[in-house]
Amino acid sequence: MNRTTELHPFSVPRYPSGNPAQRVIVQVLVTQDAGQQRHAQLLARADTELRHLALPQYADEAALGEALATLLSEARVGVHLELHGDEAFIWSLCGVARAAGLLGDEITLQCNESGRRMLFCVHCASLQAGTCADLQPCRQCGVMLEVRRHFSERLGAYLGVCADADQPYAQARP
Amino acid sequence: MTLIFKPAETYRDDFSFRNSPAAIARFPFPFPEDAYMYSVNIEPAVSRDPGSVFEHSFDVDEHYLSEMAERARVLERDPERCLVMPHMAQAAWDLLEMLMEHLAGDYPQHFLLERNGTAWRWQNLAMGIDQSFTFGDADSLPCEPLEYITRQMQGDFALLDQRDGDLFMDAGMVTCPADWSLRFDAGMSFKQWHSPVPMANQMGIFERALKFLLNIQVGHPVRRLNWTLTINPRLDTSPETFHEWGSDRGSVTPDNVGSLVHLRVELQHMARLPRSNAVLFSIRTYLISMEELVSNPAWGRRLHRVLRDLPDAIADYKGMTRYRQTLVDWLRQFDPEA
Amino acid sequence: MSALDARVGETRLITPVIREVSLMPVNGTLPAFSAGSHVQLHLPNGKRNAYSLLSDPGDTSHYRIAVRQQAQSRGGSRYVHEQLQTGDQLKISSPANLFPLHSTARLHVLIAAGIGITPFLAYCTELLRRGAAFELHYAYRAGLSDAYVEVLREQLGEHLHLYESSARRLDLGQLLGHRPLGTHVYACGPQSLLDALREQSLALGWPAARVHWEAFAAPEPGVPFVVELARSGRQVAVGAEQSLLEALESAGVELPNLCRGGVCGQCRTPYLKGDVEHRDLFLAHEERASSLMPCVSRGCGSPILLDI
Repeated sequence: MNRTTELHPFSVPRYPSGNPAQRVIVQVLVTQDAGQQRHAQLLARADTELRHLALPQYADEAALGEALATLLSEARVGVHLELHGDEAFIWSLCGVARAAGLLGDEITLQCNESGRRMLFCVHCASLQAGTCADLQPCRQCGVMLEVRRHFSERLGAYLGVCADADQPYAQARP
Repeated sequence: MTLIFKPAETYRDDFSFRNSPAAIARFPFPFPEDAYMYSVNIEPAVSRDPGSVFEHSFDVDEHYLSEMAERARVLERDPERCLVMPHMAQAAWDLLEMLMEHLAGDYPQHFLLERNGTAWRWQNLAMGIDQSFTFGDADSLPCEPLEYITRQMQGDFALLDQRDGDLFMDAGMVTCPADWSLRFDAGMSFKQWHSPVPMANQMGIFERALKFLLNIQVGHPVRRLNWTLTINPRLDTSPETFHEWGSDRGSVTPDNVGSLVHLRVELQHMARLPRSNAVLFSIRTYLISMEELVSNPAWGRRLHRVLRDLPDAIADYKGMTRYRQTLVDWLRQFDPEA
Repeated sequence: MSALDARVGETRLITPVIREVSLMPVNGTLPAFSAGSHVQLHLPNGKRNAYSLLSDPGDTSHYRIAVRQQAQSRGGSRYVHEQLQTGDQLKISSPANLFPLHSTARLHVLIAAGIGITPFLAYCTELLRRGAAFELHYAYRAGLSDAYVEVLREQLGEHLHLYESSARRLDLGQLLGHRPLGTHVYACGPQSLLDALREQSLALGWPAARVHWEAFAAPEPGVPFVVELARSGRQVAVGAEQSLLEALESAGVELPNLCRGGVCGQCRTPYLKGDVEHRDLFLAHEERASSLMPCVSRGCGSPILLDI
């Protein structure tokens, strides 16, 4: 599959994504690391208010997600969100932002593509964090998955399908 | 043509599905030429050729009861093959109305619809259903309206929301797909869910097809044929169950190729839904074994040429690489000039 | 495009310049439609104009439209006001929607000026039926374009915000400020309103995807001109009060079309040479060198050679 999928990566995300309006009133920056460099760049923009949430300031990603949801629930049109981190990090927060009513155009995604990414096992319908390897076993059902270059923004995940139907499971089963 | 339903057949396990000679005669053979290239090939969905699959917008055939039993089996195991996002509730009612009106109008001996304002009575004599309900009130049906009506109609159904100059797959009933998953593709834009189709993007086909679909008007549906190959008459060739059926592709031998390999043709029908402004994309699937197919000499000859000359990328995408040579070798005997 | 047969039902003058017309099915029912849809009226004088459907989208027993008498009428609105009678039969197109509700919006802010209220009447019926969050902001001139003010007061209650021109100004900056993230804004009215909306929404950081409008650029008259059809060599004369599209239709040349107002792009036609006054809102600058929109655009100098 990989040979042909190289040619048509249509549903594979491109970075940076998003289509910011010409004028942004409030810029929300969320970073997986301290993000000081990007913080400084954005601070230099006149007449834009900057809010920065950095993962190290929170107990874990869930706590950061809740903080972002709270911030956006009170936000007004004119806000633009910028997410920096690995794919698992940015797409999970992107889901929080879409649920809060932000449009794709209002979210810029910047990604470190060598980090974690989310995987959807189509056989047992489980969503799990994976690596950037092309083949990896499903942690739920044990099927050895080929990670297709087919990405769902809604799930924030790549499609994982049984790599070898003659020998579906990563390990021999009794 | 009188429509008579065959006794129960299966699309799994012992695979007892067969086509009658009449069903073979009306099979929508999809190749107008000896060579195949991916194309949009859309035509207005007007009624033509009485008795053919093109006579009615929603074709019911001799396999109706078996196919509905197969759908029920798939849903029992995996209820999420049917999905309706909240903003698609109105489009689901649109679909229910469209299917009931067409079925009752085209097959009055099997389906009856009485409408009195929003008080409707639906009778499906074939399946023994008699349901009174209030149009627009989901609580008056035994289940969600899209699921209710598509448990009574052959083929898969996707409802596409039109917004932001694009189409989004936000609802559907998909139990007999050719290797795509509604659960994964739900919410995707037109180009996103088509991304696995090779070469078409470079050819600008999706750009043109999308523009065309965005402009479909009420009362002016369109249709096209698509095709692939399937081992065994298996309707549910979904990614969800690929680990169970994918190995079938390795079981093709020169001795069983005629009965094992099936041409799978999709009659895709696209229509504007009037109340919701959504687009219906329905996919009616027809299966025919190679043995059944070559009973028509012209089809056997042409299929040989098409498969022999098919570009590798398309053959790969359609999943036939493992047995393509065996199949082409077998088909050669039906092409006297080859 | 196939057309439906309709019979004119009740017609009534609801302000000195606006006439409301009911359209009844000749037999059976009319197709259901989605809020924001329009139909084309095929008038006996050869004119075809597009009008928003303002009646309840779920009601298939009749449609209603409202027609404002245009000072510079090319004969369409004048015919509706002066000649169209109850009982007349005419053809109408199937409803088509170039101005739909956005299905994932959580708050719909509707802005109407004058006769631009018509699509929003269907919107409001639909939004009330759905129990959706919405506001209608309606600017009008008392006694002239205040059709439906009373009806809307009764129907909408707190959803309705009125701006009578001499008493209260519609302040777009105030209206667009401090809106929650699920908001979409829709406008229908004169070009000046749409221009102001575009400017204000940009200034307040609204992305284009949240801002929707229906321009009703009815074709305007001009000087007569002549076109030649390259494939057949035929000449077609276009009168001062006729659009090029209408002139082609009168000559038996049917082109696909929906809005007849330079917006939808359906009637786009290639041309090989000639001077064109482009009046559409569809074609990009570079496309205008070889394509024109015959529903609104006209000749203005050397004769046009159409590539059809």
